[in-house]
Amino acid sequence: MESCWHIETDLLIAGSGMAGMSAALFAANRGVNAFIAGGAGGFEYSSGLLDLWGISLTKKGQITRKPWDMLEKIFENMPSHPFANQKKDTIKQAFFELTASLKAMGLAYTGYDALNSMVMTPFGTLKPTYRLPYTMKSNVEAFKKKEPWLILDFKGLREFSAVFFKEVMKKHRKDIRTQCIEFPGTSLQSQVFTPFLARNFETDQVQQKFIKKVKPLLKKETYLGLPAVLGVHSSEKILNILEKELGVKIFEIPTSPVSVPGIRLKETMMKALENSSVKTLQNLRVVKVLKASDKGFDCLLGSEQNPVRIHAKAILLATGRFLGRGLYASQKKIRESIFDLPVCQPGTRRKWYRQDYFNQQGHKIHQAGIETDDFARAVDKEKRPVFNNLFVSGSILAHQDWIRTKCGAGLSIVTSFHAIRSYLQIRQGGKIC
Amino acid sequence: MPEKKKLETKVLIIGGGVTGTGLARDLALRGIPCVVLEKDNINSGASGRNHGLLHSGARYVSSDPASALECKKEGDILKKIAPHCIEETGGLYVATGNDDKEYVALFPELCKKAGIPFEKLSIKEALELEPDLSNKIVAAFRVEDACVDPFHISLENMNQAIEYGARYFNRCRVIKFVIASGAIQKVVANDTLNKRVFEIKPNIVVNAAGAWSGEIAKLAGVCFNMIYSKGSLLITHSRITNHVINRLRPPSDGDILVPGGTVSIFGTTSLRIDSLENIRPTIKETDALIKEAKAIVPKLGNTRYIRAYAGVRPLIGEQQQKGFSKEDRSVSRGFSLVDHKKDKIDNFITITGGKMTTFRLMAQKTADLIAEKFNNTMGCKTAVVPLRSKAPTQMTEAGMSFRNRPGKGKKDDITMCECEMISKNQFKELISWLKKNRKNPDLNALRIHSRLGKGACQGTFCSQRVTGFMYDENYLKQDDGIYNIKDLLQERFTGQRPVLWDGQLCQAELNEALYCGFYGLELEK
Repeated sequence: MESCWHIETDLLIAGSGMAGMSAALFAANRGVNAFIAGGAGGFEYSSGLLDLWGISLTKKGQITRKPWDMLEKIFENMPSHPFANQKKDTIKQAFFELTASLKAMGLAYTGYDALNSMVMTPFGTLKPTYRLPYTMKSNVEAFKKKEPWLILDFKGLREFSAVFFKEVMKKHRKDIRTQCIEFPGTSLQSQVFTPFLARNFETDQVQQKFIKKVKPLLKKETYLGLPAVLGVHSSEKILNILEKELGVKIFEIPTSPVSVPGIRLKETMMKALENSSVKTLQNLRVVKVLKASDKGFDCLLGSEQNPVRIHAKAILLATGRFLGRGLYASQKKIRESIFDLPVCQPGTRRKWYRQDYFNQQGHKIHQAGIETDDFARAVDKEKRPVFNNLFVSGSILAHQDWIRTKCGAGLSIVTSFHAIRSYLQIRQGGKIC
Repeated sequence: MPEKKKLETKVLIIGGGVTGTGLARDLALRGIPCVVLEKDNINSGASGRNHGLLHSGARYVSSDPASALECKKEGDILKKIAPHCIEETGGLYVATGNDDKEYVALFPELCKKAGIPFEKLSIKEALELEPDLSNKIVAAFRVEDACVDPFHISLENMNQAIEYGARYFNRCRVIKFVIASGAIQKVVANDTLNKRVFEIKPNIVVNAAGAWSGEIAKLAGVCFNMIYSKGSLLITHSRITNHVINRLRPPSDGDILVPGGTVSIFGTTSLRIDSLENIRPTIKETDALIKEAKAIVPKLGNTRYIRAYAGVRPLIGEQQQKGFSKEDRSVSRGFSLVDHKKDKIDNFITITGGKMTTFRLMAQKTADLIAEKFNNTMGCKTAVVPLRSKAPTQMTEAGMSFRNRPGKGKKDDITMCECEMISKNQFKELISWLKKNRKNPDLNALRIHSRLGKGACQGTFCSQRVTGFMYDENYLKQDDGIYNIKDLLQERFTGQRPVLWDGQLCQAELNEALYCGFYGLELEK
């Protein structure tokens, strides 16, 4: 087989979503020689909020502000959950290390140590999260204070409606005004998109025009809310400039996809990997494994016709679930896409979904996935590692429903942290060549 | 005490399916005032849950040649009066090696006898016309099948009737008949949309409630047995063939593939059920259908399906007594018109059975009976007057909205739904029309009157955007939008559940991540 490139590496991180990218950062911080490969990573669909755990385990159908109390319950009562073999300190450490890396690259996150923050969504609902972008700090604060807000939306932007937000918020707050404005420089466009607005916001000119436009709109309001489009690489700076000039607190409201806070997260993580020990192979998925053993893996990336060939001594599988293509569901069965690893799953298709879509118990299919041993390695039916050097992290893991329990980013961060540390431990023990 | 609304009318039609709306049009064109009460929405029953196939008649040449010819004649009329609701695709009948050779051999003769035009094709010709057909087919015929948008037809029926003086009320469930001196004096209905009670004084009541007509008759103390035969169908992500493809064998499960604009529809099953509650397609039916589908079009084995749906065929029990058979498809698909004079209720008529293709004829026969009672001699005009109203009905047809985009190219117009290419201005037009004619437009009403939520994303992107737009235009208040979205997504999910694997499962995962993971809608009560 002809191949243009041939790469040798200690560790291949397969998957460039939240789990893969977090793992890459953790690997980079530890000087691991690694490559990360995968698709777009789904960041455009990500709110940019870093959830840890948002749902109560004692009061059905309610959100919780106390994630650590819930984690205690998981440690005690849910032994198969991916969080079960973690410790509170390790989880904190993982979050701290990740957010510190992001901050160093200019993307600040904030939040309470012990509690979840409640972020207002475009639907006027409240979403519990553990770490949120600095630009949403006042989103959480504003809700707690009885002060008047002005909510802005932009002409031609479909991803956020200020009136929708205001109308649902009415049950909590009466003092909200809305205003739809034309985003500076878009008079000739009937439709505008969030990433376009965000990149335009990076320029002085647009910032000044925005200030000029918004200043006369503000009356007694002390808070100004707008969809999350305050720049991509310097959102904190832009927020500070606008707050200073307009004399109000400003907050972002996360939007429907395409989500700028998700793009910020991805681009900042990419930046953090520059000049590190982890190299990125963008838009190249693992398409085939030619040889797999405890000594290493021979893989083809990209396409089978014109592949990049890579030999990795170990692999971290962070390929995600169905949308990320880590799992594949046929009419009969759920399979793991790269190694055809055993997938823990709820039997026939009839058991995958309930009839009631919004049932608070969730759907069984979301609990399907890969089971691991204490060292984050994929295991077979006898619970033995399939390979000594095949690690797994993120949403592909079994026995968790990140969607309903609101733990998506946390699941990726914590299990990737654990996987990278396990990889190093095993390597130190001499079990990986 | 809920508010009471009193009404008087010459004819009260119960049921807003293709029969009820067709009858309303017929009566309106004759100048006979009528009111249509629909317990749900236009075409909520079998009228909206079928293949959308305008039968050439060939399907019934063996079991029911009279029905076959009826289909042919009615098909010709509809193609003339409502060409904008119909795509004249033509149809193919194909047999595989496993199909009954005798039936295949008899088919041309049966068609000839019944008066159904056909053309014999060589296998090569058939494969040239439709390359996705199985190369294992052993016989092929071309017939005059066409596909029809049943929603478009019913909406045109109703809207034209309204233009000629009829009235229509949806979400009104008839709960009681007040009967005195051998006639229905008063009909009581619950208007669930406006939370009021209707009291209607009709001269004549027509029961056109489809599968529910047994229940309506019971309110008048009249008993007849309905056979409930559930049929489930699958919708593909993209259009598979240009022609209607029929399997050349006696009618059976999974033997018709009908193109519908940008998609194809495959069906059906036939399952005897006891109750009309919770009619939904099942996973077992879906898998059985796909197994059949592969035999004539192998691609149907690995194509993406976006949803499934199920309807109940309204078959009449009286015929069941005549020629009882376990196979519901062999029960005549002809219709039955009953004057309940024989049950000692003078002003009560039931029209039931039949099929989509012959709805106009069913309406005509019913209207003839009514006209006779009123000594109205205008005669039926439905076969000659074009079936075209002034309402924005063209948005129900897959792929049509883009072509007929009003205000296309206007500066402020943007696409709200990429799957079906529906623009903001189109929704604007539809909403203002609904507001004027139907009151309280919600997401569900927009879905019924347009292609909203019917494309590959099944509401993931469009529902949120359109809800935002409805808030911007002051059509929604407080948290109405949240429940509008929840209702729409639950409704869409019921149809998606049986086909959730591969691509459509990825779509569903994204949908849930967004609406539950991010917005937390499962927690909003």
